[in-house]
Amino acid sequence: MVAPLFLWLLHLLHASLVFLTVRFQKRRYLPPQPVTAYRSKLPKHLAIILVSYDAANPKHTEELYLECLVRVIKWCRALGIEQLTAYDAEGTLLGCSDLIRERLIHHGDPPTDESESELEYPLTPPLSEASESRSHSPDFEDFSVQLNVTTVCSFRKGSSHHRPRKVAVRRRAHHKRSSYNPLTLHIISRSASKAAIASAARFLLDEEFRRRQNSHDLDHVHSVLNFTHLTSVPGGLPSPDFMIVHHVHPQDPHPPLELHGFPPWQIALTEIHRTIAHDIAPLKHPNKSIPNLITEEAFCRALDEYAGAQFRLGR
Amino acid sequence: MTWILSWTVSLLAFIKAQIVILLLRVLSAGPIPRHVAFEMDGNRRFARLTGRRAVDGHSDGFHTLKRVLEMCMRLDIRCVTVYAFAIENFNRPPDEVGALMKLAEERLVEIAQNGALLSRYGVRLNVLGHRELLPMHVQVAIDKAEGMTRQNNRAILNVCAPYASRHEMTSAVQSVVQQALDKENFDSSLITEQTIEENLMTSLGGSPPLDIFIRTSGVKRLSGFLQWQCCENTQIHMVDTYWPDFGLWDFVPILLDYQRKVWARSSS
Repeated sequence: MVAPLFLWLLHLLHASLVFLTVRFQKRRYLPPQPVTAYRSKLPKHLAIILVSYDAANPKHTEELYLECLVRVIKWCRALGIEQLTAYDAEGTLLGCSDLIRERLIHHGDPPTDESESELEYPLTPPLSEASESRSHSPDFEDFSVQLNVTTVCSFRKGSSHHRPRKVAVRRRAHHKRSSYNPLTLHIISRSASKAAIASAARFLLDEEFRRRQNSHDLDHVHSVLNFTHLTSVPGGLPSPDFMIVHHVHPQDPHPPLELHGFPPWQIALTEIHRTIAHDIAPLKHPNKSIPNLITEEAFCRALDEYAGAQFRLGR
Repeated sequence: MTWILSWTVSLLAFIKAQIVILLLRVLSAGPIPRHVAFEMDGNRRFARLTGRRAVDGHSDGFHTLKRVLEMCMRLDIRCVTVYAFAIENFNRPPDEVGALMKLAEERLVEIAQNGALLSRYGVRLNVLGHRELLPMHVQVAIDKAEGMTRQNNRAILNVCAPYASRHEMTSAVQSVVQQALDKENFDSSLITEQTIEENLMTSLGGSPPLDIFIRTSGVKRLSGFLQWQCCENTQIHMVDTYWPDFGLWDFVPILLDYQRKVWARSSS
């Protein structure tokens, strides 16, 4: 009886300390650098995880997700970030990919004399990463591996494309803001996560069964069980350099970071950031019932953090 | 005068230890995670802060591991997983790798011996990873340490070394496929997320699902540690403290967050 009482007191003390810390941080709030500020490195592939705990209003959640995504796309194109992955566990974004297309056109570049912007939905998903050459390639035409990645490429005909950038590249301090940069958008849900790895495993077994039926050779199984190659095939999701986790509904206190089922294979070296309350709901809008759309401040703070991250890669 | 001083220091240390035990008892009145993972990062930077070699930092890190493990056992956390050595860490300077191998060889047997930490709390040791990459003398020591604790069944300590999550996931997939081939059961629909999960190294060692993932030293990446296990329903905490400095002050808020989550879930 005594221990639970002391535990309750401990929680009260902790909650009070957290409250005071947050208030103190709000008073010492320093805005991040603007979008176009110089940063020592930018992610080549950014992922955004959108989280909502409001299951009762799916339509409202869909609108919030769409608005957040459109904003992030705009900033990515301005910065020249080449790939963006948008994830939500329930598949809300996947379910409204047509709406995403319409929003992209609506918020896209105004028509110019040179050309019109064009959105392409390729018939088959584009190559996501260069595949390693391998001596025993599975025949993907006969069996489907359900990687469940929807990819949208946007490019502008006739525009000068920026040359591909690596992660750690110095950029000029005042680059010209441009919304014309090409962007590849991957839209995924939990179906692209562990389920995709299970699908790849099923494919391996089917492939081995087919091979044994054709050749009756039971000795050489090693060539098929080269699972790692499957994640670099067409339609696979490349690994993001940086991931932003954003909650569209405020919670007080902020819950600990979770990854909400994001594909596990791809996140070995992904830098992870969660948007913070100060950047989403500044002091002048303390109304906690207003949903949290991702703001430019939150996006910039995330980029500032990424620019400061160090990568030792095991050394 | 010196005996008064030393007596006072001993008394203060005793009082502090009792307060810690009391605090842990209070915490264990609420929900306790079943499985906590620690990515023990920052040993070398900690050593550099005090002008010492990286190897000294790893030694400090081991002492912290024993301290944190004891805390977890007092809290009745049934499974602890630690990232001791990544496959990529073989790229480090050879003398550092050699020192780490020596540390592993000596310390694993030390904590597994009769009367030592693992036997005191009934902890079974599992060393997970691509064991064949380790020098033979380290493999022998691991086999010995695991053998000493095989009968323990109160808790589990998974030491991942040398480990990479992609290697673990690949091994699980290969294992699942090989099992189907061995049974000549070619019905691939039987392969699901669950079957892969059951063949992960952590699951094969009897570990429950991961509740809390903690990485020290301020780095905000997983760096190839438990990617499958922590991508869903796991609270992830990236703390700024270097691993040798990690203690109750860092751990208590994490546990309180976990308890709040469990209570919120049970009330919704």
